[in-house]
Amino acid sequence: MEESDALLVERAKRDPEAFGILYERYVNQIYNYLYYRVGNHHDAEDLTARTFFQALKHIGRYEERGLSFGIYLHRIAHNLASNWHRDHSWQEVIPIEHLETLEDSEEGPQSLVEQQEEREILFRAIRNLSSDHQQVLILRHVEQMDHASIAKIMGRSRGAVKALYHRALVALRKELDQWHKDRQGET
Amino acid sequence: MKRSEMADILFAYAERPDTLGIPECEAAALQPWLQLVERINAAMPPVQPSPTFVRSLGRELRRRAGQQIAQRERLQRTLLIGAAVGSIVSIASIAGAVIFVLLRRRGRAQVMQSTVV
Repeated sequence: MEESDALLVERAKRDPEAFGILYERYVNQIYNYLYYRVGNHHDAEDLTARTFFQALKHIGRYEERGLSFGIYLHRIAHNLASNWHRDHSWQEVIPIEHLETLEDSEEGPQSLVEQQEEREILFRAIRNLSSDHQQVLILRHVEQMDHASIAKIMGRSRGAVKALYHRALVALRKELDQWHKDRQGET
Repeated sequence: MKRSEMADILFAYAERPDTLGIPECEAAALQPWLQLVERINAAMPPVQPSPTFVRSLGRELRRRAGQQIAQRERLQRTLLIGAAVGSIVSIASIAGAVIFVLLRRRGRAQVMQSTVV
């Protein structure tokens, strides 16, 4: 049977291997989240490493108290991503790397180009949203988290998360409409 | 449709894109929103970190975890020894004080006796 996070955290205070197991359990999730927050592999790797180093540093003082280890890691990752955005606010970050996955598609080149353009437009629109809106969309669509988990990570009520998700979609739709208007204006 | 109901439907649709639970009268109005949710799902497929990165970070974390545990144990041992030495010193001081007081009393008593004699 798989050892629970709580037991592993307790064991990690005495046994380095236990922290290694926790790391393997969450590294993909944290990386995924950070990748979509920063938009490139290099910074996502850097922030993933910093998330786990920070968690390790404070493992001695960590107590569950209704906040699972996964949520705790996401909170650290969220804070690091917010700081990263604050420090990089002067530069536009264009996430292109994720489009590489399209190469594996079996569809024709025309369709691929359209799909690629479609994803780039949407991704740019998402990147123009506020940090909270981006976060709720990533946690729901990439991490497939439920209301309760998102609420714990973001430090909000479940109702507030629902409203935030709705507002994020409205804002995204506005962004896309604006983009289409601008594009029509150009042509 | 209430905003919260709509949010619930779209939230659920993000995980399981089927329209079975959506009331028929609302389906048409919701269509553009459902499409938007599908587009977001398509635009954000899960990504994997490189295996080399995962392996090397795992190794580094285990190494640091070992160091941290050893450091904490050293600190605890130092604190324990410090506390033990502190206790011995305090006990010795109390014992010294008691002996000092007893010797002084005895000395005074001897002086008193010799003056009486």
